[in-house]
Amino acid sequence: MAALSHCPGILLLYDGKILNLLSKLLTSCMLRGRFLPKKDLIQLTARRVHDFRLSRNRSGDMTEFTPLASTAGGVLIGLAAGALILFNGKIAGISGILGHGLSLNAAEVGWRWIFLVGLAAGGVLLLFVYPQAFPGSIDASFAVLALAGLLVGFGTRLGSGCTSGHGICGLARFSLRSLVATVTFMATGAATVFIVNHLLGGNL
Amino acid sequence: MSKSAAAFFSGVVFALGLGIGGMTQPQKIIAFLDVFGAWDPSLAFVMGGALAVQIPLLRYARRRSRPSPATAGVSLNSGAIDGKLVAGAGIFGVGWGLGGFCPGPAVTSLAGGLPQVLIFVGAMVGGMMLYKFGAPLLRDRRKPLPETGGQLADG
Repeated sequence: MAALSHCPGILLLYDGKILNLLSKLLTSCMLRGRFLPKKDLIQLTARRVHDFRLSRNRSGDMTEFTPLASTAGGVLIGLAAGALILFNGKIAGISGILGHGLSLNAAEVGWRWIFLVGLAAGGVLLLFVYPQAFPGSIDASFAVLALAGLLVGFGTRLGSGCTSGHGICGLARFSLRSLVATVTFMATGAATVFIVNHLLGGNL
Repeated sequence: MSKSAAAFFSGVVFALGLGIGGMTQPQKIIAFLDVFGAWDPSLAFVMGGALAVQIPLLRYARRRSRPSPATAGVSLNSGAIDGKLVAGAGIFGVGWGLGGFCPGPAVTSLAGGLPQVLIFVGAMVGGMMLYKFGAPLLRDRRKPLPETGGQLADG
């Protein structure tokens, strides 16, 4: 039963009203008296909704506001992106670096992979100097993360940029195109979180 | 400094910035996007800090080497504000809000060793491949084809 909550499609059905409707529908046609008595089904429904409510409350924790650490992190990102421009004449847009790095034909794949290895190596360094950078666990299910990854990969290539390429490097160049992209992905991101957190009631 | 060393150290410092700034914590990203809930504006400070350094550095780079297209932004500015840009950014935002990861922090977080991050990065690369091989197909269909059968796998 708990495994069901890890599938996003079924989770949509988890909301009380839809589930009640569905259980009524099921009982009134094929399920009546055959597989499960109606009483058991209603009890089961109630238990599921209760379990789901519990899981909501677990995931709705607040995060700490960290203006100093975040500004410091931003300065480091700015320095790193600036170094890439000054020394290599390249823009530090991660989705572009990764997307073009996947191509075997494109010229200059080399520096992209070196940058990506540096990015991953920086992650390993963080494990030693700042381990709190990584959460001990992630609430979201594999299915949701796979869907999210697919959307992020496809969307950043279609829109030619992500938070770094448009949000930082693009805005630093005062590019109107990047401003439109940044406003758009922040708006759809906020809308998605609103739907998930406030209409569906918690992390998927 | 050689170009390779610059690319490597840029990646390392970029990752440190992402980690210290809080970008590698999906909960923090989601809290930043949760403007109607328990909003955590920290990530606006990451952006502010990065821009405060980037803007003068970029101006310096542009003054130093005028003809380079990368520093002048010619190759990047060539695109118009079109449906592709808005649709792509919109799709990216939905994924960002769902998973709490954008590309840079996801690659950096691989070191954290959580299987969820590996799934996300794998799917993200899959999405990029899907665009790489899918976009030419769409373009071919829209174009009137002079020959029978479009070119398929030439990304």
